[in-house]
Amino acid sequence: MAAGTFRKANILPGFGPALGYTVFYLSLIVLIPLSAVFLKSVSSTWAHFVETVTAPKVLAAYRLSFGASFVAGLVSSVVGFLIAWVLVRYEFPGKALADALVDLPFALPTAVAGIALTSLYTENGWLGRYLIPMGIKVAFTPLGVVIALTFIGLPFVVRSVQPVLADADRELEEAATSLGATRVQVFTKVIAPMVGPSLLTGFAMAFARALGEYGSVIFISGNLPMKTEIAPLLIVTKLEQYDYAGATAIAVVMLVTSFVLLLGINMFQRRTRRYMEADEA
Amino acid sequence: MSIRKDPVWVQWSLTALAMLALGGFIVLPLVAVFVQAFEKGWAAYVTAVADPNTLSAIRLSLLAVGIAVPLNLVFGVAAAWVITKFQFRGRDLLVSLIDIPFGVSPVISGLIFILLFGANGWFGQWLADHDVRIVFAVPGIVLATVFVTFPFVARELIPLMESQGTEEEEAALVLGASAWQMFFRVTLPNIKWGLFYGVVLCTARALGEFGAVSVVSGHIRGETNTLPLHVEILYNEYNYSGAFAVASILSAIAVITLVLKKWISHEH
Amino acid sequence: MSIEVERISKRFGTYEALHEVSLRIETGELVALLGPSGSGKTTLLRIIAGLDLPDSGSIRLNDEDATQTTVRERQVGFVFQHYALFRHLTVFENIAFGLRLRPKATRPPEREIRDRVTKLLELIQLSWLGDRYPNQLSGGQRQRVALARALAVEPKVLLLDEPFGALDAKVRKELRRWLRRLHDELHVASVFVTHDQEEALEVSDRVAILNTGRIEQVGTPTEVYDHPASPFVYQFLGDVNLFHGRSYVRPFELDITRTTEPASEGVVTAKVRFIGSAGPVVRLELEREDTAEALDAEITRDRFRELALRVGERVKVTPRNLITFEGGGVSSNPHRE
Repeated sequence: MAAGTFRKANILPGFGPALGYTVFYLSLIVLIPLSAVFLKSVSSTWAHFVETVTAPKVLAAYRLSFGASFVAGLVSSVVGFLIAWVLVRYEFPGKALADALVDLPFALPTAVAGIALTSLYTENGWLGRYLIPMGIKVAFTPLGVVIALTFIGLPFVVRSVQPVLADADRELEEAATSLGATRVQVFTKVIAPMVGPSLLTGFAMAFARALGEYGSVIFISGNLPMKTEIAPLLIVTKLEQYDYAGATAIAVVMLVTSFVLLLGINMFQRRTRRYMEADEA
Repeated sequence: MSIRKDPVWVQWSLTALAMLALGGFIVLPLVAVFVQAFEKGWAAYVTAVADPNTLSAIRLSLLAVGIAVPLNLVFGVAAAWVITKFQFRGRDLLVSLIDIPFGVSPVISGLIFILLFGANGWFGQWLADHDVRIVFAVPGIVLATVFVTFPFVARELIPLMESQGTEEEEAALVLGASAWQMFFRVTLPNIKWGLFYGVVLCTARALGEFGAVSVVSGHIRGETNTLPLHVEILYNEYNYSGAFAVASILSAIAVITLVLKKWISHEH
Repeated sequence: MSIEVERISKRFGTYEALHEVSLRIETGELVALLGPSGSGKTTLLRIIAGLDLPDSGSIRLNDEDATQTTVRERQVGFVFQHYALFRHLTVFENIAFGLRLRPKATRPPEREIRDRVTKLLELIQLSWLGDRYPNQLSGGQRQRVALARALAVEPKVLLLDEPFGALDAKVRKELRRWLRRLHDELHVASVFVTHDQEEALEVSDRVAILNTGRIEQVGTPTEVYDHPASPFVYQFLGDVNLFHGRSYVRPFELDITRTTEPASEGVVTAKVRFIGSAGPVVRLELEREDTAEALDAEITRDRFRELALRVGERVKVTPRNLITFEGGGVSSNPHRE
């Protein structure tokens, strides 16, 4: 791009109107409304802001939200990698169906997932009736929150690892074995470095999504104060009490966290992509 | 080539483990929805679905879809056109900004509109004076739905149009096409499947959105209930078979979405 | 219709793609834009078509200023390097595309469109492929369809970007002869971009050789080959050996004789390092005994048999036609020693 010019010359039509409409609609639907949250939080005093976000109940909710999202992200990473591995490398009956089903959590409304998961783990549920006698309580405990968030997070990991694993599988492995590498060496020296960044990206995306998740969690968590209340639920509770400032304060902390996370993912992806391209050139 | 073939017992045990995880985490909940929907028989199912409150929830959900999808469709095409066919400053920033609604908690997406249009919100007083209701009414639900489904079409089109480049459009112009002829005769036919899938995703999410809509709805039965909100109400009233009956409609739509995706990627 | 390019310059950021390029192409002429990648030849072609905009300079089509006109208004025929066929349309509809776009008033009736497309399909010898889609065709077939599509709107100027670039060697040769015949029938001004000097010299009436955004030389194939204007042109048009750091000679312009005499002033001796005897000529890789520089020589098979050379033997090398560029400037004329 030439210094001082806004865009590279291109004779295709429609740049002006399309850009104008894009920016207008983006501002109207997303940017201006979203800025309301930040302006609202500025309008309340700093002391009130700190008081709200450090209340014991709020801190407990943050602990649960961050902790459960982190654990769910880890579980998603392990299970998601396994699923991606099997889908890429092995042939078995029903593979296409399994591949399609991975996306179900993207497509299934969260409230439906929430009541379905809850029904599985209650006393009379298909899984609960075996787990509860063994002393494993899922419904209405933090473990339930982790399970719901893993459901939500799994496809992020599978879908970010799968294409990279397929690439690694095709090219590098053959090159590595022809050089005499053992199976374990191929995994640690070839597959892991290639797939690592995409696994981390998948984890971060699952984690970010889990932090904000609401519908699939609130049914299975039971919303016990100080124990199984997630941060988004506290926002809803504050809103129901018409405490807009309190709700906004909690929201701002979450928004900033997830923006930092997404920005990090974005920069990380751009860097690894450049690294891979430079590698190919 | 030998490394591609893991020993058979490794293949089998890993596959079994993966399918067990997939079954337990993802398939079992789906099955649970349908089984519990029909637990009390076909008649109870029909009663739950044909209930006037269910029908009004369906109507409201369709209304939200009918507004959100066309708006985001037009936006998605315009945004993808600018982003993929031109190079300009701030292009990467624009791509990131379009993704914002994906990164925002659904609850916060609803909160935004309460802060703008709620009783204590920026425009609250003005709206009250003019007797206009947005929050706890249908317009709020539509707005929240538009917000959460905002990026879907654009996200589907950007990688597709990026990969197609600009040569076919240039060829059309050299052959004498006007801007609209180029768009309708070359660009649109080339992106129609991506566009279609974007619309499918957008529709599925618009029908299924819960958190954002829940916050702005006010839960007025028969007035501001969408399908997912209706599921919640029935569930909280311990009307489980009713809740799962309504949930089964949404689940069926989710399954159709997956089938369409598989079909489109297979065909094209 | 003639094309006249006057002092065209174009920058992409800090990169200067074209620097004050001027060129005139007459009706009926077939001109090749020849140069290595990055020399600006494709940019020049796209500027003539109106697909890129120059930073300065002007374009005249048929002696009328066309600098400000859009690509639509210029009505040129353009064949893209990767063909840019419309993937959702059949071959027939691809060719008919330009005609169907026209407003009702100027659009030929459906019968005439069908006739014209059918004729074009015959011209490109693909009549039986009208119902196929582009992805069902081979590269050479796509190339011909792209050409037919450009010709359907009866342009007065035909512009082709690396028209044979993506094809294999045999198809290339066939197609370029076919293109030459077609051009002669149509009586248009044609410009094609290529990085293959053999292609440019064989097909075109005149060749414009570009290097780093500048035209180094314009002339008939014989002119540019026999009287290169610069070392770049000379080197780009064929293999060369460098003598004494500033004189050049082509491999086939070296006389090779067996020798036993030692190297001395004015006599170059060399050792045979490699013999490539497949093909119409025999290629010798030599190493000069005095400077250890590598030399390439080409001799006929008969001459090779006569000499009965083996690897490691000593030969005397005598250049028949040594070209020197004085001062190394691009404008200096070569003289012969």
